[in-house]
This record gives sequence, structure tokens and C-alpha cells, in this order.
Amino acid sequence: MISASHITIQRNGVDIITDFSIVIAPGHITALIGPNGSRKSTLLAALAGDLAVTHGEIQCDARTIDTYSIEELARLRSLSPQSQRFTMSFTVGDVLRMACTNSGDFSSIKKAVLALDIERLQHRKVTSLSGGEQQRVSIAMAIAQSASYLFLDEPFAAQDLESASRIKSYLRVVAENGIGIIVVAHVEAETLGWCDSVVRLSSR
Amino acid sequence: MRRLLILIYVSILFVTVFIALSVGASHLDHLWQVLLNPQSTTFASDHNILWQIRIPRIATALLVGAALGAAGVMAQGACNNPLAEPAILGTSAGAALGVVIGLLFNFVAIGSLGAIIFGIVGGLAASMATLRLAKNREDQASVVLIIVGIATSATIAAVVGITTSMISRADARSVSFWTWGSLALTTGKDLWILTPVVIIGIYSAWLIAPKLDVLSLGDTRARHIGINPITTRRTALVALSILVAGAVSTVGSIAFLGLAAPHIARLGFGPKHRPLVLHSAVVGAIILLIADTCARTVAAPNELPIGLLTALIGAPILITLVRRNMDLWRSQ
Repeated sequence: MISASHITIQRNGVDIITDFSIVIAPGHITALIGPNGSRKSTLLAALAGDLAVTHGEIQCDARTIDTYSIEELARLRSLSPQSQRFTMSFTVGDVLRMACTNSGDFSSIKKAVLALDIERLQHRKVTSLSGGEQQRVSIAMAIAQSASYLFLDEPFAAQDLESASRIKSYLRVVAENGIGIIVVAHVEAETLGWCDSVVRLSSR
Repeated sequence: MRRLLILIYVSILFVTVFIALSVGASHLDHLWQVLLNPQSTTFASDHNILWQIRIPRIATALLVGAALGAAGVMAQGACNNPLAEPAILGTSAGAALGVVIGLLFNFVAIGSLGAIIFGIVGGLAASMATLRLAKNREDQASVVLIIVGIATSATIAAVVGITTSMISRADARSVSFWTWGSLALTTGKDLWILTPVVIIGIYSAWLIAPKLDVLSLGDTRARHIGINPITTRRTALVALSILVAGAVSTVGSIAFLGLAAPHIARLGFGPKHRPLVLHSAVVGAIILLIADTCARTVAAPNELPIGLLTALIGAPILITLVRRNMDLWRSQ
């Protein structure tokens, strides 16, 4: 269980997130929604251990997140960013294996690749893919990393309806295996019926 | 496909070495006899030229070329930037400054292990300074790093030039040596120090290489995957500095090779850093040997600065290859 209690994040002395609490439970899909500029990605970065909080604390298994090493964090959570830039012409298979560097366990690549419909792309260069395909590769990387928690920042932004629904149903499967998932989205709450809970961030 | 490419470049390597053995300021009548009988003293003059002058020089060219080829991979990988190379990051100039300082204060003699250690410290300090001044952040791939690097290099190179001109001591070498490089002053003795340094450098580069693959995804993603981008980058810069210091303290600064060799190797063998380190080392060795063979024969008995020829040979190859493969490295 990752829990943030009463966290405040300041940048240059100004609050950008004020007194916010959230709990991410294993096997649970939480949607994090809010308008543009409501600092969803900032919150995600804090929960992922990338960003220090000014007040309050983020805990996991009775330890605060800032005591985790980079390797421990890689076992704890994986994250697919809003847009993953690929600069070098590695193949899709190469970058998926890179995502498993920490564990050295490549067994979950196959399932993720099938579920996200990128199997036929495995020998293509990542730099030659469309934005939507690159995003699916990035999501597959995060799933293949096999961490206990999966953070996805706007995973449907570049997906058509069919592939979005395929991703959603696979995320349900992942959650049933005990992985805690946060999905950042800026859609309305009505379309989030497939999630277990919805947390709304208001604009400042 | 890859096997064919390897076969092609190994053949090129052998042909180049053979040509380098047979041409020079003086003609060898008994090349094969002398080459195949290193102990024999039948043709004393040919024997001396081949074993005391040509072979050490060829070996130096191959080693320095390999060092710079592998160094280029470290520079580009560490900075996640296709334009990074030792001469642009300030590594070469920093290594030169380190060696010159060591010589000036009589701490070390040129061609000694001490000189290389001074070079490593100088090269590392200068490349770290460039990264620090360019903010050492996610936007590594930005043009800022290159601009800062060019400025850092120019500043340090100017200090090296002014210092060597002011003291005008023969063992401190000339301004031309530190800016354009030269293999004219190398002796067989240099190889005893250069060989282990280059082997250690390439081995360290090979060790850190897989982490540089992950670093190409950006610092944040690398950290999420469990790779520490800061220590990875620092380790790569240490390998880079060892390789560059070995090269610079033996033959001066040779620009451009560290930029061209990795790109040429990447076109043939893909972006994975581990094989790339080795392929780029071979490509670098071939280019430098061709360049040095030209440098000592084109205007014989005068020598041309080697850096002019690496640019002359490497640049057109690079432009041709990159124009055909524009998607090689997406700019961010």
C-alpha cells in the first residue's frame, strides 16, 4: 500500500499541491483526474519517488518513499510517462528488455506485448513507430518491468477507441494479479467506470 | 549481414596494415623477409626501419584510433547526444591541459604513466565542468550542451596553446601537436604504457555500455527502470577520460575521429552500446591508420598533422552515411 498523507509540494516557495492525501492499494485501479494544470503529473512524480514533498510524507510498507534506493523503487513501481521519447534506433524488443534490466526477468514481456497488440512491431525500430505505437510500447515497458505498482500518465492520449479499450481490459487483468495501478486522465468521471476509484484534483 | 560487414572491415584492416607496412619515406626492398624474421639481422637497415619505426607507429595509430572510437561511444552515450565527442565535451582539451601542467611543474615526463594520469584528471574535470555548466539535466540532448562544450574546449585549448607557446620547451610539445595531433614523435616505448591504458579504457567502456542503452530513454525513465543516471554518466565519463588521456598524452588532440567512428559503426551494427564500443574501436583504428599513413607519405619527408587527415577522411564518409540514414538518431 502506497499512502500519501497531507502532502504539500512547493516549487520556489509556492504551493503547487496543498495538503493532499491518497492511498494506492494493491489490486486496485485508481484514476487521477483533473483539468490541465491541476498538477496530476507532479503528484505522480512525488508518488513515484522522483520529487521530494515539502510537508507530509509518502509511505510504503512502513517506510517513507525517500528511503528507497533506485533499485528498490524499480521493484516497487514502474511508470509510463505522458510521452516517452525514443532517440536511438533500438528495436521494440530491445527497449522492452531494457525495461527489465533491474530484475533480469524477461518473462512478462510476452504477455504484455500480446495484450497491447504490439507483437508484430517487435523487430521494428522504435524511432520509426507512430505516436500511438510508441505510447503502447512505453506502457508495455512499464508492465513488463513487473513492479508492485503501475503508474500510467495519460495512457490513452494517443490511442484510438479500440486500442484504449484493449489497454483497459488488460489493466484489469494486471490488477487482478495484485498490482496497484494509478491512471492519470483528464476525462470526465462518467467514463471511468472500469476503475475502482476516482480521485479528482482541482485546478489551483 | 553483420558477419559480412565484419568480414569486410577486417579485410580493410588487414589491407590497411599491409599498405602502412610497405609505404614510407624510405623504400624497403626486403619487407617480407624482415617482417617474417624479426630476429634476423641480415638486412639491418630495413629491419630497423620496420621494427623500430614503422611497426611501433602502426601499432600506436591502431591503439589511439581504437581508443578514440570507443571514447566517442562513451561521449555520445553519456550525454545522450549525437554530437557529443571528446573534442566537443572538453575532454581532449582538458586532458591536454592536465598533461601540460604535469610537464610544466616537472611532475611527469611525456609518454609516462604519470602524464596519462594527469590527462585523465584533466579530461574528467573538463567534461564534468561542461556537463555541470550545461546544467546536467534531462535536456542533455539540447544544443546547449554542445555550445557550452565548444566554449569550454576553446577556452582550455587556448590556455594550453598560450602555455606551450610561452615556455617553448621541447618536451612540452608544440601548439600544433596539442591542436592537431601527430604520431611523428611516438616510439616503441610508448606502447608499453598506451596498450594497457587502452585495454583498461575499452574494458571499462564495455562494462558500462548496457546501462547507456537505458540512459538513451532519458534520465527519468532510466531511474524508473532502476538505473542511476548520474553514476552511469560519471562512470562513462571516467572510461571516456581514460581513453582520451591515453590518446592525447601520446599523440596530442585528434578531433573528429571520436564523432565519426561511432556513427559509422552504428550504421552498420545498430545502437546497442556494448557491441558498438568494439565496432567503433575497430572503425576508429582503421580510419586513424589510413590517416596516419597518408600523413607520413603524402608530403614525405614532411609530416602532415594527423587531425587534418582524420577530418578529411572521416567527414565525407560521415556525411554520406548519415544523409542516407536520417532516422539514425531522432533529435529531441
